[in-house]
Amino acid sequence: MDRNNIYRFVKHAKIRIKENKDSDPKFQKKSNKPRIIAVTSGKGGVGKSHFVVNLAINLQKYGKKVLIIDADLGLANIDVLLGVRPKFNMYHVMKGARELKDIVYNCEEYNGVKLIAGASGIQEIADLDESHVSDFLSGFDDLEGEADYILVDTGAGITKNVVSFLLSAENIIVVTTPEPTALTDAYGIIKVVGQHTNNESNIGLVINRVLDVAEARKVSDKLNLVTRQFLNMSIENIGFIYDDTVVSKAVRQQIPFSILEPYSNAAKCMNNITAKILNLPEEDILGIDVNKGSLRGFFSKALNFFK
Amino acid sequence: MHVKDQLSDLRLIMEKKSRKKGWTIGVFGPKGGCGKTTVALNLALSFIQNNAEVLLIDFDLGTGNIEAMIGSNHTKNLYHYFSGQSNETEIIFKGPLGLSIIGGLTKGKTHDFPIGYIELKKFFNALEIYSDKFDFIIIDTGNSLENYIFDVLKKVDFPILITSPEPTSIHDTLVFLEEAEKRLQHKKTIHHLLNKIEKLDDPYLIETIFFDKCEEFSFVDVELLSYFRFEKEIFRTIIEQTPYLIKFPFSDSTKELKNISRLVMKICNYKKPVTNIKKIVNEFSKEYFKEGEQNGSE
Repeated sequence: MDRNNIYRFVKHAKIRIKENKDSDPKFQKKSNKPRIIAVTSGKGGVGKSHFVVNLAINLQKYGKKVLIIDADLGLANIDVLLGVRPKFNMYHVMKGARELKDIVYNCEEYNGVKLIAGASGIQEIADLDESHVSDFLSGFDDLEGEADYILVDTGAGITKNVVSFLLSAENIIVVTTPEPTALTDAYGIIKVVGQHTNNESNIGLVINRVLDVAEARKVSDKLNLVTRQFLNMSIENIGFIYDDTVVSKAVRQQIPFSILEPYSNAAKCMNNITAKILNLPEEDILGIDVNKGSLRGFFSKALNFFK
Repeated sequence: MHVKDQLSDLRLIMEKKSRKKGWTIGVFGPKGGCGKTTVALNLALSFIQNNAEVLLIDFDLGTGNIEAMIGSNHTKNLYHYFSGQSNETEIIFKGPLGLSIIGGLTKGKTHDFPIGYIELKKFFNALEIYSDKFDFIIIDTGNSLENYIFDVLKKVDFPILITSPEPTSIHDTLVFLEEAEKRLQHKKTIHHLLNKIEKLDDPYLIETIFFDKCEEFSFVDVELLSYFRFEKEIFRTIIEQTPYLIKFPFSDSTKELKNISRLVMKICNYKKPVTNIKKIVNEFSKEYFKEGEQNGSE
């Protein structure tokens, strides 16, 4: 995949963005078309795959059909997180042995969340020619009937593969943590995406492993300030996830934490995020009180009490 | 480990013994966030505490972030070296405890700047120059399976592979070892370092998995170096941009890290220069007596 190909993706993405803009600036999904959300981070190990898996399970709870695509073409491990073993994966598609829709695996233990497993080991994939890759990306169109939401989990890093996946999605969610290292990498990936699309592209931010609401707010403000100042882009704050020991417990048992401990802090935070993505009112769901501890929240509650 | 392999390792060590300086230590870890840069940075500082001259190179060519790790705003990095804007000494900057550091590639430039054979050759040439100046060169790699990572693996004297006990991390490490097996031409011992251990059984269980896997390999040999217990404070030290070796000098991880650095120094036959202390004592006494004389004359 070379520069020409990237330009083609860019064109493709630009047309998509235009279409979306025409229909609704808020990027509401169209009648039948699935909403494609790509999740990325820049730095590895910040919790992309955890986020994708638990978001998928939450969306499924609300009766949406969800398809997860593990687009990591070297170190894919969504299947490990879910504890499932699909027979075919991206490797077979990239080689041209299978179609994208043929390798969709139905995870029955998770209410029928669908998964396209990623590939492990890159020796053969690196040698693939461009036609295979573009065929592969055009295969996205065949998946239209399969799901309401398609969640694409990209690999770590700011590589060509990652960027091409990001540009073919409607919404991009950047997962990061309060660590300066993770923040610089998140900024890096936002910068690269900004170079290839117009500024209005919809980029959301999720901050993982925070101690409290104040820290989450501080981090998102900081990143927003920098992107607005240097890239002239504003990113939407989608939510945060508490630093929770339940996450490492969940990986060991290979069961997503939203199912293993639905009342844990991390799971409640995921509920908030799901509500935000589905545009649900936050009162309806069991989540973390975002206004807890802040003055504004206190006063609004007090006012509600007097009403 | 077979006797024959031990002999080849010994030969390597004997060769190195004749050349006193420039031991290269590679830090690998295919899973993101397993602690590569943290271990590399703190190991480097631990060598410095033993009076060694250390160079830390962030060889993550895409998401290099050593500058953010220590809170430096040095702008020159490997990109400037590869593109010919700076030479190999200009890109070095000083970190905590006087550690020499080279930053990785600037974010967002990877598309315009693929790492090819020429850049790698240039980098290895620079390593030769550095090896005369420094006792230890620690190369911190990125979390991908790109070819350059395996080229570094072939090159370094002492590869350290980091794994955390989650199934995802173990899976990624096994993939990494399979890829390494495909590319290596000679027997290589990879020193395995387990990070973020929460249960006492974990090191044993994980090593059993890797021992079984290594039976299949003919070039890759994995040996357990040590393991770190999970400590929640370490995640916070990264946010505060102070290495935990400095922030928590008496934590379990720091103690273990010091053991590891001692072990590595023993293998590399590095001896703590005593002359430095003598020099300090001499200078101190000179200063002291000088002052005394001056006081006396007054």
